[in-house]
Amino acid sequence: MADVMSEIEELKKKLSQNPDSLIFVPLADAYRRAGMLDEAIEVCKKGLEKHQNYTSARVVLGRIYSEKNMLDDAISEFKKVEAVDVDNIMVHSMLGNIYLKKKRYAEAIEQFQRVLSLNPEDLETQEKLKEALAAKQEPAKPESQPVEKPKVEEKSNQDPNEELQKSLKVAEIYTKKEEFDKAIEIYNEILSKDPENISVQQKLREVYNFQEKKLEKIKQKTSQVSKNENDKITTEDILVVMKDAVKETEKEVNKESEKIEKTESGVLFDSQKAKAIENILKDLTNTDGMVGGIFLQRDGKIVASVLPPDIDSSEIGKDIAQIVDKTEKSVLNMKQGKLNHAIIASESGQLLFTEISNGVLFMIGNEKINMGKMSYVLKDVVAKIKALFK
Amino acid sequence: MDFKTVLQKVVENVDGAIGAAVIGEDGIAIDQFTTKADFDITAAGAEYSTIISSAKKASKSFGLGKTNEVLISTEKATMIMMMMEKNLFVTLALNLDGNLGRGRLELKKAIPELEKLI
Repeated sequence: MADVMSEIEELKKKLSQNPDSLIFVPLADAYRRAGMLDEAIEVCKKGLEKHQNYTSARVVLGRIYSEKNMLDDAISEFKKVEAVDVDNIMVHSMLGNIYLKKKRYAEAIEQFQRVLSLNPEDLETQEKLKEALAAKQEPAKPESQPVEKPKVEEKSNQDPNEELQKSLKVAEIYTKKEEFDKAIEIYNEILSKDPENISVQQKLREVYNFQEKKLEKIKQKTSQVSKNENDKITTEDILVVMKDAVKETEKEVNKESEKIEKTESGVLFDSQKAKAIENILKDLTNTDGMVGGIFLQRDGKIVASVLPPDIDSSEIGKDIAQIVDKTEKSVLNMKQGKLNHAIIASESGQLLFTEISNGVLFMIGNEKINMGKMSYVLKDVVAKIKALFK
Repeated sequence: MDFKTVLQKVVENVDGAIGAAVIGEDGIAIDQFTTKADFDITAAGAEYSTIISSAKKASKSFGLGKTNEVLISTEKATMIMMMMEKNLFVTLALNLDGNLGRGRLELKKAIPELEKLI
């Protein structure tokens, strides 16, 4: 206990020195571990006012609510995270436990199944799933809330696809107008109904990036003005700075939109380029230790693949595009710049993925190849693929 | 010996190391040691855990079995994550010019010590 208290003091000190930092998350968690749940909620809520889209903070807040038995509030926080981070194993696990507690067994089963699809070896969740399945079989009535009809059904006269397209257009307009919060709200709403929608996840991620860039530019320019004018900032200065930042971000938004349109219409990956990429991937498998490669568009559509016969490329495109998206998003949230590449070393082989020319390259090696050689081979493949787009 | 002492030893033995931490797959850090005040691994615990769960999913998609290690290279740093017992993992962050090989070696050496403390 004494350790947690000294940790709290240290974190409080850090937060007071830098009130805009993300240190409020470990501070809230330290309060939680010390059993000071009210303080934990207060710190977390205050931090979230400044960092609304910081999912780690929402996870911690959900956990605190859960410990305080404020289960509906906990569900609400976890659902917000789930909407943007569909594979967050801890969120699914927490939601499963809460639903189990609330005797909402069908929902608990769904959440535990999601945990096990991400980590099949999780024995504890296997047990909980069994418990929820057994409880569901029992005739006892759950204390669950009345089943709400999904919102989509209420608008049964409208074609859901047409409605989705309209929402996407509105979100894009908001993005172009730099009303990022409104665009984020729309994308989140779509994702709450269709959490697997990769294209929307990607758009949401882009809006977050634009928003972050805009804030950074405003910050930088404000500090420049501050230096130049001996710390005397007038409202006019701030307006000028904001206008500049808005213009610059607008340019970037348009540039990115053009890029996406090109990718979506397939212009960047025509059949000639796809064939050339396939040849590069075939060459790759001639390297000792490399067994295959796959190149896909950001939406999961496969451009070219050379894979071992036991892997069905048609099944994995969407999944692996999502994996790349989530990893990139996490790296951005960690404030460590853009992801260059990731290497995953597993029991029977290694995987490497990286973004190249608006697509994603996955390289697969066997268990004999080491990380160093994978990185070395990557350089060669990247150079060859980039050359195709010059 | 506690977690922090072991993590500190790892960071001090690797050129260019910024920090190390033991994190649960639930995203909550158990302990950390950092050399830079503004580099807080515990604050980003959930992000590290998302990366681990994505890596596991990728291994599964390609039929590669259990994930042992993940290496993330970004514009500003390199992060090594190694799986431990009981749904925990240890991570080491390095500057771009940090000694990656040494970092992996020191982490591998530290894992048995950290597992004894669990």
